[in-house]
Amino acid sequence: MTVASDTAVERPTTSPRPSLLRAESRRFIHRRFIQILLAGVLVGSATAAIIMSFQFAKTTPELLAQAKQQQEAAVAEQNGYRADCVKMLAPTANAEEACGPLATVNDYGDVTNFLPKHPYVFATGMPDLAVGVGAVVACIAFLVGATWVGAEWSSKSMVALLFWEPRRVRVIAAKLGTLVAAMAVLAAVVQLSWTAVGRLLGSARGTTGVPVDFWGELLATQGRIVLLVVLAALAGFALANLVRNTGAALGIAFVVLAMVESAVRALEPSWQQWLFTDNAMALVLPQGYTIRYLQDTSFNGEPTEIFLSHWHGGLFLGGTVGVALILGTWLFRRRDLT
Amino acid sequence: MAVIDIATSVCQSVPTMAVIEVVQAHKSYRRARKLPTMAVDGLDLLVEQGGVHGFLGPNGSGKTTTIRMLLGLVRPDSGELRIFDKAVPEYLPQVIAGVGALVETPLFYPRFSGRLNLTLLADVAGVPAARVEECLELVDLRDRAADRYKGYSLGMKQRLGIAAALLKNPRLLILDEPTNGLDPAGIREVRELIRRLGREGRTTVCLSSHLLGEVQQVCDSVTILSHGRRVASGRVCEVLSAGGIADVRLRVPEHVRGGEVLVAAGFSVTDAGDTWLVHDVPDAAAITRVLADAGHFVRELTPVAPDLESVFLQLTGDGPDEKPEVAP
Repeated sequence: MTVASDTAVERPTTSPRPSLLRAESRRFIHRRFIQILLAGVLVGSATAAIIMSFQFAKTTPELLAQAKQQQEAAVAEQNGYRADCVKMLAPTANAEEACGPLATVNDYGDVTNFLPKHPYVFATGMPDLAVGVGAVVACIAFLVGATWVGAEWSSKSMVALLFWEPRRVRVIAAKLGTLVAAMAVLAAVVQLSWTAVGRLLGSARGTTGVPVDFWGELLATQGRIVLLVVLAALAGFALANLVRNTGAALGIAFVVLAMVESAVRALEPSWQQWLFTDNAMALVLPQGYTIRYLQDTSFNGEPTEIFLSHWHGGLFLGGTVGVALILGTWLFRRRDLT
Repeated sequence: MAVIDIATSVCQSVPTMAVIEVVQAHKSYRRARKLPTMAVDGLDLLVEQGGVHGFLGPNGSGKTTTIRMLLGLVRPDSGELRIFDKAVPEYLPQVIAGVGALVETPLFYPRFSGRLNLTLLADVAGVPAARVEECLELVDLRDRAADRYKGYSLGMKQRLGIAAALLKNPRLLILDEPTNGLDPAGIREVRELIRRLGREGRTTVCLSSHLLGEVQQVCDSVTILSHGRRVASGRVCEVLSAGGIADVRLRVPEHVRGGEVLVAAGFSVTDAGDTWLVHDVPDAAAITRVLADAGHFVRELTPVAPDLESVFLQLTGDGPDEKPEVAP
């Protein structure tokens, strides 16, 4: 140790402004686990895009003609079997009843069903793609949120930070602010990237034509997906902050989502409107989400329907996460840290 | 237990302002299905500006809890705590910029490098990056600053903790057992650093330790705690002299006979081989007088300086957990 140095007691002349947010942002960027997760998102997205590009193909007149031929061949083959069936019938038998009606091309649906690869239709495929990608990113965001504060508790760095900023609510607010900003940016960038991928797929392997109100609706759906991702990150944070442990938070989430929710669906289906996954779907799906279940245990009769709107999903998820965050922050503010 | 409080001090040069003031602080910990544990029980503490103040007591005497209360980590049940004349924890945000602390084990992100850990703290306090390098240099960690914290030895971790505590260039530096885990050379360097900071006058160092030797070597003043209470406080030299221990080492030509004369005269003596240890002697002249009257002449008469350990044991009636220490 350089004990002879005099630098220890010289006050710096120019100092940057104290900034908890800058420190938290720097920590977020340097966290190895988050770097690995983000790399995983990047690699996973690229791999999925490449696989999708092999699953679709643009339709050409030649391919359509080929498909038409295959469709007609299928009809002819079916009618051949029917003719054999009719031959074996007694003269008095009703051929229509015994061997079925004559097959037509309409029985085989659209001619595109006989194409070797379907074209990618951007107008119908993109909203589903956005929701699917959003669900994956929401799971990752939950993990990031939990580990973001869980690591602080496991290393006790949270306590060390209080030697520098004793206002505990500010400390939590800075961590939350960083998390919300990072997850919103991540979700938006992923949505933007996949919109570009969808558009490229459409132009290279399908169609890009869209209805008039398509972009507005897609943007609204993607906006709600960004909100879901942020709420998932906050839920992970709130849970890990309450139990002060990442592993325990993930365990609780698994028990609730995989076991409790399955049990509720089986035993008390009318309570589904208060489940996290149903409300998450209600929030992001373009038309909201309708729960259908049979009240009659003999499974007869019409199913009961409960419609969950975007507002229902958003308020339920936001309210639950908000209560957990406030409770965790209140406890953190009051707790003795030993 | 009586409290030895040296209010007017002959060692003290000029009256200075209080950096830390604790009045009648109480703190108990409640645990599930167990009786509450009283960690701090009516503690009074005064640390004046400048120098090094020792905070001495055996494990469990309330040192760390007091430090945690001062730093706002633990809420006192009652009592007043002040740093730089501001009540804490209420006004802690106003004074924290001038307080550096290392409490027990340093707490850093294990996967981040030493440098990154300090940089994060520098961001929080608005400390320039150059200061991070200065502090790393100061604790001799610059060469290993890029390595992950979890790969550091115990001593390196402790040194990084000290670097972090110094980062803010604090007016008050609180160090809780700072030499834990350090090798003898490291212990000596940390003690020299503490002494130097105290000497320079700008920084008041509050050193909490259960190592009596450390406190005696490094500190100007000391507060001794036992069972959450102050049992003595003041300048180290005064606490030592106020401990009531005034022994004298005596050598006479006729060892056995000389001892008998002293015992007959009412002195309390211990045979120390070829010398006698005469206890609680208010005036050494009384010994020479008694011996001369009996025809014995003194070859050696040496006052035995009391050490902090003796005072500590006398005050607390409790042995400190003094670890074997290799003296620097």
